[in-house]
Amino acid sequence: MNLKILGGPILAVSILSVLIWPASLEFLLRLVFSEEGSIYPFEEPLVLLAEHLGMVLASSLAACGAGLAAALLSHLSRSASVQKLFSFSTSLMQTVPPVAVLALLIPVAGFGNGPVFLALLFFGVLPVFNGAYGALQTVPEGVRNAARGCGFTGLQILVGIELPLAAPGILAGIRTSLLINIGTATIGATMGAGGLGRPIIAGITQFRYAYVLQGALTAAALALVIDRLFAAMVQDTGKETQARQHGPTHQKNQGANTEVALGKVH
Amino acid sequence: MSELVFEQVHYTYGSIPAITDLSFSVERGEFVVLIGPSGCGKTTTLKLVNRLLEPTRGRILLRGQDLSTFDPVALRRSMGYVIQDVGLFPHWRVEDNIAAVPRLLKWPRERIRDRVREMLALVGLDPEAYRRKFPHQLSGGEAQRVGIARALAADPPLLLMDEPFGALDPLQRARHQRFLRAIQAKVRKTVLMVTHDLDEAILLADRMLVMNQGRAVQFDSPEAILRSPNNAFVRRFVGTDRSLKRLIRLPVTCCMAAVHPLRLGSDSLEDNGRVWGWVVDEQDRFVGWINFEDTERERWHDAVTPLSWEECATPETNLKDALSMMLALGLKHLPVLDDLGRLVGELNLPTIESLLREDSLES
Repeated sequence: MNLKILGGPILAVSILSVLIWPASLEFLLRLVFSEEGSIYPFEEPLVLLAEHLGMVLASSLAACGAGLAAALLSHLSRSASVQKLFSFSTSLMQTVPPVAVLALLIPVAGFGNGPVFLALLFFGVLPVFNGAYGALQTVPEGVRNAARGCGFTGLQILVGIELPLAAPGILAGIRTSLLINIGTATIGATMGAGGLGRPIIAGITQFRYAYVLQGALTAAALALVIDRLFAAMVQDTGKETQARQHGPTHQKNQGANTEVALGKVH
Repeated sequence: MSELVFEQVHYTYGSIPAITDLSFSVERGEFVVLIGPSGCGKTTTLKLVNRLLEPTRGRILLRGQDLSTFDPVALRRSMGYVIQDVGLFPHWRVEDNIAAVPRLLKWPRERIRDRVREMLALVGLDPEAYRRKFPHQLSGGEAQRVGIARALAADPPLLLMDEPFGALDPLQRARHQRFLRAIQAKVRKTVLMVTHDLDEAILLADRMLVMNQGRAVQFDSPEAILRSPNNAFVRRFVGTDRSLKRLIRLPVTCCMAAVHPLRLGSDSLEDNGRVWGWVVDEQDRFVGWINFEDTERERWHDAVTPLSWEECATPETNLKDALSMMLALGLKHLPVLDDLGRLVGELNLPTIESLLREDSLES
């Protein structure tokens, strides 16, 4: 990893730090709203961030697990009906607004982190499923056939060939899911969960828009950090992987030397 | 005991009979080509051998043992498999691609490393230059050669090839065919190859299995099939130029005549009743030809009509290509040059004509 690649994440983390440290946060908010005590007082900014991050990571982990499982099942069954079933269910889960999901879950699961976790889980599965399934489908048929013909078992093909080749697509799906989740998790505050939604909701109800800005900007900065981390991950193997996906190309210049050598073979 | 035997094999895909009552046998070390029009079942036949497909009826014997008694995965690891799209694993380097089956067979690392080097050399690619490359850095021809190296890496006794040169341009294809012939001469594998290119089949096959609509129509050497096609289908399939096609199998050396060229260094223009002669330089390298009648004896060097080496045959050239060269030059005699450009013999059109006449008389 060279410094150029780390530049993005480092910058993003710096921005996030500015928003977490009470002194700089106060300063920033005062610039916009020019009133004393603009920071949300009921919790440390760092704790809010930790709550939020915890919720996001837990639900995203579950969403990735569910999405990957669905994608693998659809891919391995090689049945169009299975794929359609999963595609439909995951789309449905994302179409129903999280707020509505929460409202429906409250009678069942009560207030707090539980229902929020479930709502975020439902909302985050589709990007992972689409990314993973799509990526698995784009593994060239010839590569699969060759692997089978060589004598790889089904499991060896999946683990050694298909998953490594699908990895960029899978990671892209996870990235999307995670980023969406960060924003959506703010809704949790309406139902008694913690996180960056708390200053936002409190600010709306109390007409203290500095709180809203605090919550929103911090969430955005967090999303930026995650995004830049993924970008760094992708860029590290980026060009090689891109080219590798597409297999051999007809690069005439490179062929020239061997053509000359080949003249001697016969 | 035959290496591979098909006994009344049937394969039905849904309600479509793709293979019907197919019986034939392949001997060890034989190069058998499956050929026929699209949809005749040749690829299906190939896939029955490495059990990518299972026969609906009948059985296949490998070295006397029923194919269904083998574990399919172990079976495939004992056979080389080359396909048209090549299917190199894009995320692995060339050396890892070639090492694929040996690794599955748990060969020791040293042995694998040596084998990769050996295989790259066999297919004409410099090991040090190529083994660390990725497939996307290879040209189509190089990739196909790595595919062949991968198939041969575990030293399988049987090699299956499904239109291996289909994706190459005609020039590459011709080179690869010659090169495969050279490899086969060295390694003597039992080969089962599918192609739709008749000239390719004629060049490479010890025997050809001509198929049509899932059935075997004729199974014999290319010469035999070209000389006596079984029925109207085969006759149409091999084409009306089948006597010319027979020439593909014959190298020019089979009917080359000796030559007595004139050397540029020597001053005298000997006239032993000849009207014309070939001319070589002081190092015996071919220069061209000269017509005695139009020439002044003293200054004959200037009257030599030059002929470039590319327009001449080599000992490896086949008679069909030689005939084309003659027609292109408008000459009834074609020089045969070795790789240093020295004149080693000549071909005469009348000789080729009588060769063709002989063969057609036999049929």
